Amino acid sequence: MSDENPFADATLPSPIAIHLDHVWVQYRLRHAHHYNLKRTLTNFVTRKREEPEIITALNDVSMAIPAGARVGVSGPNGAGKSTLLSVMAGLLTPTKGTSKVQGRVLALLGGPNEGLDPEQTGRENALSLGVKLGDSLSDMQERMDDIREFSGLGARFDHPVYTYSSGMQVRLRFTTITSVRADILVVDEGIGAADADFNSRAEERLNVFYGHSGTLVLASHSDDVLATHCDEAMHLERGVVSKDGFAPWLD
Amino acid sequence: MWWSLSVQAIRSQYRRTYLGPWWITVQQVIFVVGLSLLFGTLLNQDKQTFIPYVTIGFIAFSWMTSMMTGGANSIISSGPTIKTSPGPLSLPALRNFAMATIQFLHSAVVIVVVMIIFQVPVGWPIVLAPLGLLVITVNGIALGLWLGPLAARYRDVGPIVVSLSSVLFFFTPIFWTTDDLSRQQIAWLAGWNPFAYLLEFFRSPLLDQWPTVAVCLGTAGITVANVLGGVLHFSRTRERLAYWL
Repeated sequence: MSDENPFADATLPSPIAIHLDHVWVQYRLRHAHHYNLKRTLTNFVTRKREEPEIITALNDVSMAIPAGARVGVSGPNGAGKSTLLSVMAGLLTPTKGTSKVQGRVLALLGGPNEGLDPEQTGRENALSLGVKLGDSLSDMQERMDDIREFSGLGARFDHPVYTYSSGMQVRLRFTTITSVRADILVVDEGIGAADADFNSRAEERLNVFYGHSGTLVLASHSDDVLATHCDEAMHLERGVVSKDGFAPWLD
Repeated sequence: MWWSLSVQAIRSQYRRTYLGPWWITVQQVIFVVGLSLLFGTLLNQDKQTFIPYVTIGFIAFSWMTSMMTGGANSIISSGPTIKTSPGPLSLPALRNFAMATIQFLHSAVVIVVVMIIFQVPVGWPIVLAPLGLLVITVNGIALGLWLGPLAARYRDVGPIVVSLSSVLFFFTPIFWTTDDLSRQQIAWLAGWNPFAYLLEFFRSPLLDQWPTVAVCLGTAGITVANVLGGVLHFSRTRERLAYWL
């Protein structure tokens, strides 16, 4: 297996799952005045150029995360955590530098109810959510009983989602997401699970879910969450990975 | 997969209605009847040929404009998905094509019914009908490929396309013919309009006429330019798409 891996390195204990090489991500922010027609025309006539403001979200980030690592990403708001995860998941192409990933990535970067269609039933939603996350239709169909069972929706599983309480929606989403399996799991701010009765069982299921993934990258504000699920962590600030994390594979 | 996702989206859009996507068809039938009565009388047209002409023209035109306005909106409306889950970025364009086409297939039933009621002769030109469908299909997908990213980058494109499509209705031969224009010496009014060529190419065979050489050449040129533009623009912008959303 590792023979085919272009990132395999004899000096490292295991093959590399995620490899970022001098990655920069810069957003070009155009303010309202950039869209001012009068100003644009005046600038055009006077040959003045107005450059958009550049926001550097990732500033020359390099790392090689070994397969099987369980990595936490901490840092304040706007540090670049979500951007880093988007790059790892292949959703955002770096402005400069390269990002290579070995294996199937499951990225959970959305908000709590993103991806549920209120007009469709719980079952239909579970199916299409799983497919959207990259699983095959037949695999998802096999898991339907498990999802129905664990979410505790019972007969309501075949009712349209607009009839669900918000707690039921959370349970459906949580159960569906945690049924999907991937080589690399990239999670932003954990996966919310409301409902007190559901919480302890959810905790257990979450552990199994995280445990099943080969490699885990988890971004969170909470040091407790990171300490529970991760073996190592890096700290991100202003788009730069600082060394005070404890991730031995950072350069 | 994109086709079944689109079928599902349309189903959920109309889930709590009885007529579902047939509602648009009903609306189009009412529109065609009104248009035929009004302009058939005003322009002194023979109903036997004018009603099939208007029906096919209007339904095909609606299909094309819905792909155009939908195409312009396709990337913006898929923004949340593009930013959070993996998948080919051509999906929005394909999905937009599928949604418009599913709607068109419902309305196409009306075309067949009208052709039967008004006993439109069916001759050799009908062999071009599948090609007409294919041409509009290819152009619809290509349109989504270049308009989608363009409208995501320049947010003025969406509104421009919407106003353009309503103006185009009057400048496309739907309730008048290009012969009418020639008689008034204003044939150039339709000459610049790509929709006029595609529409003629699709409609003529269904009305037992061969499309003219000019229409065939125009259609071929538009299709090549549209596909080239679509593929090039899409491949040049795909890496930047997530930044524009």
